[in-house]
Amino acid sequence: MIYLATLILLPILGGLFAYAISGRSAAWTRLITLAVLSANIVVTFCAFGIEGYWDWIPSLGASFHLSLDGLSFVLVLLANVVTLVGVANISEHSRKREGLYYLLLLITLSGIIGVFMAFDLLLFFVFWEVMLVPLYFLILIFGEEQRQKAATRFLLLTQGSGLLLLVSIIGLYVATGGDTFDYTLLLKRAIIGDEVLISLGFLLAFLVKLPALPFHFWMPSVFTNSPVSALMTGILIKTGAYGLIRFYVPLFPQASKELGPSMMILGIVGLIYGALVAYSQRDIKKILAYSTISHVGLILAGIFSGHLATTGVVILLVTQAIGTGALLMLCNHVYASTRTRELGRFSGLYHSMPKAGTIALIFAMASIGLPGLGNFVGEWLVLVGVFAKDPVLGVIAAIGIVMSALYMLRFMHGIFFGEQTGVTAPVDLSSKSVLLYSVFILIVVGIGLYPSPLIDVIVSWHLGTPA
Amino acid sequence: MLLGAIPLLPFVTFVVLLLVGARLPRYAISFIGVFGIACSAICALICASTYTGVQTQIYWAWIGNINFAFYLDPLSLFMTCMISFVATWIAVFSVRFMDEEDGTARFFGSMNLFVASMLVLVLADNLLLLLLGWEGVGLCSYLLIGFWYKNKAAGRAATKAFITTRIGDVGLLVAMLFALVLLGTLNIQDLLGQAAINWKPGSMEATIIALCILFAATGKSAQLPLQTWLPDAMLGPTPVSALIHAATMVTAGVYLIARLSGLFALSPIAQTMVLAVGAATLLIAGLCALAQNDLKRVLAYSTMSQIGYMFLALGAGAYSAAMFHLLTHAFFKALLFLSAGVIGYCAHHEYDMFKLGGLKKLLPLAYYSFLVGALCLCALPLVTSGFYSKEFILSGVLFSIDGGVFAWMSGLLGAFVTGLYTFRAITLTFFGEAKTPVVHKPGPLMAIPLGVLALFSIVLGFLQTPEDLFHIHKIADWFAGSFPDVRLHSTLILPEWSTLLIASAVSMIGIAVGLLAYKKSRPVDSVFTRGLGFDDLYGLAVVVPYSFLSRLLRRDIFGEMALSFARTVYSMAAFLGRVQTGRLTDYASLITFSLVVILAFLVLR
Repeated sequence: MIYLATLILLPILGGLFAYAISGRSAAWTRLITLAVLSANIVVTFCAFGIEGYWDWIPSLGASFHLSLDGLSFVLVLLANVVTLVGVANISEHSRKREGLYYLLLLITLSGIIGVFMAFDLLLFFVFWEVMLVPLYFLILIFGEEQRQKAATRFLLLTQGSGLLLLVSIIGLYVATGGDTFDYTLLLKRAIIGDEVLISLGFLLAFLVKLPALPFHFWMPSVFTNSPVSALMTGILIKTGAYGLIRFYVPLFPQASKELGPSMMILGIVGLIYGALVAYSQRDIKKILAYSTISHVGLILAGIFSGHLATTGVVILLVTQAIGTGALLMLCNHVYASTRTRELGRFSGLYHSMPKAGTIALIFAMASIGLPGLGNFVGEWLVLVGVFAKDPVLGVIAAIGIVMSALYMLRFMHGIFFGEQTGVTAPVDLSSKSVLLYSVFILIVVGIGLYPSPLIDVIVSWHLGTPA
Repeated sequence: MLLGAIPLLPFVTFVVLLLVGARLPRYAISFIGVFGIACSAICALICASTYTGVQTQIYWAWIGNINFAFYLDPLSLFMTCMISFVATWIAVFSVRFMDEEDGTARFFGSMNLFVASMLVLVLADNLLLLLLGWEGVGLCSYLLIGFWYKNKAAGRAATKAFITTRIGDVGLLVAMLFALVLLGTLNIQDLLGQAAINWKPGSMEATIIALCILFAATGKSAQLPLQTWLPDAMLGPTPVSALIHAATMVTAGVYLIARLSGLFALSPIAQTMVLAVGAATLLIAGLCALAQNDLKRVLAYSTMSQIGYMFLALGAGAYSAAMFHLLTHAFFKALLFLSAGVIGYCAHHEYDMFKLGGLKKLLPLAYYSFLVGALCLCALPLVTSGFYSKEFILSGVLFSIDGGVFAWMSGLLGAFVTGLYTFRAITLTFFGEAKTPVVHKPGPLMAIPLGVLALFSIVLGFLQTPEDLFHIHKIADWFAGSFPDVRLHSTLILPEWSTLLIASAVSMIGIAVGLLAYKKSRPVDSVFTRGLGFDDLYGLAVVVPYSFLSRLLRRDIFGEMALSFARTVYSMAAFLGRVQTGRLTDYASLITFSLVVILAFLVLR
């Protein structure tokens, strides 16, 4: 139990400490941040399988009910590892107000971890809101030219849908007897009333966060306007899929059955649409943003296609966060040399950045679903699930996956192929960076070739929920 | 244990070259690059010499109940030996070929990864693992076509090859999904067994899956309708063309269909389609080869045409004949490409035949090795392997119920065209006066691989000869029981010796005409030069609409719509916000007004 509390509190306390001493030593600030994140990874392993319970508002039936089962474990670990590697990778460049930067980053992480562990709906809602605020300031203070617009869109849309989520939580609370917010208890309760109507708030909040069509428009601007918060966003959006898997499908079996087919169609439409839009983007980060929207479509379709596909979805969440995170960091690196993200204004970077080019190629190939790399395992399981439910959608999804090769190769060729032009003082990745990327590569290759341990951990969660 | 080492060794050398390649000296890179492939070949040959029977080696559980497992039977052993052996000699050749290029580590690394993937492809015990190899070779092909990444055209060719074959891969994916959902397994042997039990011949399910498989095979093997990428792929280094785009990867489609022969046996429609694809491709590609000005593009079209022969044999159910031609073709086409590579290496990468010429005296090594390969390609009777393998195919096609006279005649016509374009190429490249100076000498590292391949191009023919001629049948024995039996006509249309004579005569005439007709020819630019306009057709039908649609959506129309909806709501809110003046009198009057309206509404209702 103490481990679970540590997971959430350690980043906040560590962040405050780092902030407090940031005025004196920038090096120590970074070091503490990295130490906190590393410690959190160790704690995550210690806490696997633990479930904890504290009273909170007994009169309402709300409690600090936290749990780290297979599903939560995988995602908490993911959030910690990606943040650690991201922070370690940027910490080479010093920036202004570094203490505040790390503080906000760590509070966001803490909120995300809380979301992944909360087994009480009211508690879940609190974490859900907590993670957004620091990220909003992160974008607003540390973003680029259009940061204000990006931050506003982000906050309005996610907060607005959060409000609907609260309404739905209360609706569910009332419809199930009005005495508990506890997830495990609610699972066993029957819902009296219109299940679909009650479930809509959940659905909307999670769809916005995914981000599924047509609520996706906040994401490209966030991706392009903030270097590392994009990485955080990459993890944050995983909470949308998590919400659907953990709460929506098990709590509203009837509604999932009724809305499932349309959600699958929405997902596949998003898959194709994202791939099409990504293909003609000029900003390299926008290609990644729309690629994410495309992949999210497949994830949405998978969530409503049964247990097997859901297992695939969780694997995709992991590999996507890592792959997109790595490509975003590489984009930042390219930007540092070119001062532009627009394709066509530079080319042929492979000549002076062979390491960056090779690493980008690996993640580009992972992203387009090359077998042997992690994403393929997830995509395959999702495809099988979708195909079993609806062969036509399955075939379209297979075509959509192939379409990803088009924009990803355009991305690679635009940056790395051709004669080198438009670059001032290009620098290849440092050995330290290469080492950090290697962590990601090892995870992706490991999952690709030997996914059984991961699948076992994820599947252990399914055993507790109804089919 | 040894079985796993065959693909593992080149994979390990790939990883080594990836990690430390940039820091190693050139000779070390070359040594490691050749070493991995050569060891793999040695393991394969040991495996072959100690082969006792079919065996399955399971390594670990991969995804769900699908294992990472290898399956060794006559077919996969045959392919394994061929791939690793040919690849070894091409790797040796590459050492000299690449000795002045940058990025040798990248080159040998990709070559090793390619060999590893190709071996996984042929050894895979299930379709999912096969897909791993299948996509892996596609990736390596992409990397090696785009090896000279500074050349934009090479980059485009690489993308084209990758995308086109990936379009074909949709077929494989869909076939796998169907098989998994309908039969519950992806293990190839189980799948074939289940299919034979559950589905009657001519059943819908078998046909759909077989047609999807065929589509995937046309992508990888550059057959109609997905053949357009292969000629452009020639922008890669020539040893790559020899290994990937002639000897091994492009035959993956043939292997796939042969591997799933049990499935095709259940579907006469799919079987006929394979035959039709083969016949059409071998003729069209042959005609296109006749109109090329670039030596490597002639060879590329010739490869398409020869694989067309293999498809023809597959379609007729003459599987052993297809595999025999696959074997001999791998050797003589690798020989042809490497001879062309000698020219490229020694003459500044000039492959335009109209700028070459007279190389017979300047580069005798290239000339004689090319000649041996060319004679095999044209099936010079009695002494070349190409003659025996092509004859095996033609007789198989003619006497099979699934084949027929038309397929046979298209094969004969193709043989004639082969003689024409091959000797046109020889005349233009090696005879006449020299136009490009030779600046390098080939050296023994090039001569030895050429010698070995030339030797095998000759002797491999004597593994299988017609009944009326020596009657050796090692290939047929080797594959006995591996494939469904060929359904033969009960009475022969022609006696076998007469078909033998006809085929020989046709090849000889082709060679003779080719030698005589092109003494004074000019560069051509016809519709055949451009591959019969398939590129333009696909450009108009697929690429243009896709780019158009994508550009139309570039501003993210859905997102904009949602945004403008949000803006409308916001402006309405702003309008209502103006009502909120903060003056008590305004509010009082508004309340009164509203009350009146509501009351009036209630009363009048």
